[in-house]
Amino acid sequence: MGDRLTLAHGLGGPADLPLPPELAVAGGVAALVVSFTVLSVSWRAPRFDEHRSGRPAPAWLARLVDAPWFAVALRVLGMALFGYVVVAAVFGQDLLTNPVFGIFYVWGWVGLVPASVLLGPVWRAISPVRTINTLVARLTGSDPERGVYAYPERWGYWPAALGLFAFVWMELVYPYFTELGPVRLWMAVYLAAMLLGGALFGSSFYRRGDPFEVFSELCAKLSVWGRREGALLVRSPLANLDTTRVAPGLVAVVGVLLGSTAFDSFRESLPWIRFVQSADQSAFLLDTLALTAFCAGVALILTAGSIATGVDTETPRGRLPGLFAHSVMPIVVGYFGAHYLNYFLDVGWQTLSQASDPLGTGADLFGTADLAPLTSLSSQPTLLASTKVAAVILGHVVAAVASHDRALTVLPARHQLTGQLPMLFAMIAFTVGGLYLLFAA
Amino acid sequence: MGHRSPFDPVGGIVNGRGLPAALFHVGFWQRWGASVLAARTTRGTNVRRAVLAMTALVTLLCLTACGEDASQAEESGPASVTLTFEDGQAPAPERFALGVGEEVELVVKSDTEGSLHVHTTPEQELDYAAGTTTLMLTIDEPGVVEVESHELGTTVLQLEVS
Repeated sequence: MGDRLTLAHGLGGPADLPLPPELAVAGGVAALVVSFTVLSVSWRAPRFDEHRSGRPAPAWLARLVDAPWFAVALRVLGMALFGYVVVAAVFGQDLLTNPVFGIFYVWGWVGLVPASVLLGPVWRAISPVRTINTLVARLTGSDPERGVYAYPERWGYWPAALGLFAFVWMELVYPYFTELGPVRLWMAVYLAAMLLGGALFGSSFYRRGDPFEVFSELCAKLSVWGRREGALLVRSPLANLDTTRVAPGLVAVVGVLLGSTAFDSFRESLPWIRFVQSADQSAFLLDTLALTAFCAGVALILTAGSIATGVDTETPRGRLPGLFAHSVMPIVVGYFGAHYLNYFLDVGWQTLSQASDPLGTGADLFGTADLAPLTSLSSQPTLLASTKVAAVILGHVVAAVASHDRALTVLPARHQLTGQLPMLFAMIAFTVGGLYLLFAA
Repeated sequence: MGHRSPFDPVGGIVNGRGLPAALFHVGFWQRWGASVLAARTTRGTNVRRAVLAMTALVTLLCLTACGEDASQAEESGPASVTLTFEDGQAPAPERFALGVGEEVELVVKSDTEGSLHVHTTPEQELDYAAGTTTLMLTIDEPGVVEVESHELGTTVLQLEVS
């Protein structure tokens, strides 16, 4: 590669086709109609009470999931995957056929979303850093939950926000993201930071400081699984979403998640490619600035949408963005699905066949080396485009309902209807912006 | 009421209990419908609803009025694209519409030799010599395929294959 930095995909071949304009406009109109319908005809008293929502899960399932051997089996699975990745990263070849890239960027990052939405907070169950922290603590005779200090509450989710930004920066901006050296370095720094955090603050650090665990937990709020006093519950995703714990930095996390996906769409568009290639500044700098602008922009729109309302003395205006941040998560998940669905299927399947040969020696460990390529959604562009718009609109519907219910809880009575309008426009901006990016890609 | 298995979808939805009801929130839909039908109307509520409906209508009209026509330029005749490399400068990238399995002719005019990377699965590499070289390319899968210059590391062409 020359001095000028490339902007093409490192993994996977062709990008998705842009959305047909009629579909994009139809999606935008649907978002508008849904928002105003939710606002004008839905309920007037808050519905979701985290102390009473949900039903106990079937007894056999609760027994299975709470069994100690099940937890241990998941931890062993996590460590096995971790060990495999370490071996492939350290001893494997620095080629695109090394499965580490597919596992890191596709199974791990993109795959975390459907896994968490279907199964709950999976990263917490398999996280290798938690396992290592627990093992080290047990060996030294201390309690893995407690560290040297108590985790400062005002840090909240900020460490995770920074970690997530570091990941998306590497995936979307760093030109050498498909070389083994940088990936190894990123993983090593992540491991070191997490183990240090676990040693200093105990394993409670991971709930707020581990980027993947926070991402998985926020996506798991859209699943049907919950817990109350240790018992496994089944409850509607909307009721589950309402139980998201608010802490400083939640807005930043949501901003990074949505902003990075939006930037990923944006950087593939022809105007941006032309601008970057003809500019005097390096593509590296321009991409970093653009990624930061997108993440900050999402956070700003969310903040503006939530604070532009009348409040009474009980709810300080500064707390409102954090209280509404959970309602943007369905938009994040919907847009993530729309953008990455085809990529996940194509490259994920490819990684499955690469996984049989981690060291590039021509081995066939799992018998998958000769898997035929998947006849995926790329060969059915209309179906793919419709699925994308459906995912974005579904995310918008859930988000509108969630923010409506939260507004009923926190806004004073006389501002309950009009106070929701700025947030409604913010969500329409996200959805229409997302559809536009999918259309203009 | 008898004990029902949680995996009794029809019974669950009908009786508003069990796993499917939890998932589909039957009670919510019932109450939503009831609230729409029995909405108490005071003057204040009516005015607020009218204002909301007007805002919705105005925003809707603005959105459809501002909708752009995206015209995809279709090349008539044989599909051919010219790429000119001069003094180490790559051409500004264009997007070109192509059919699946349709052959496109890449006419490369360059003062030095080089190669193009075509980001299909698997990646293809097309070499060109100094002067004018004609390369033929066919893409079998729909998608947006980037063609970049190996030496300069920049995108020189996007092929929108559909």
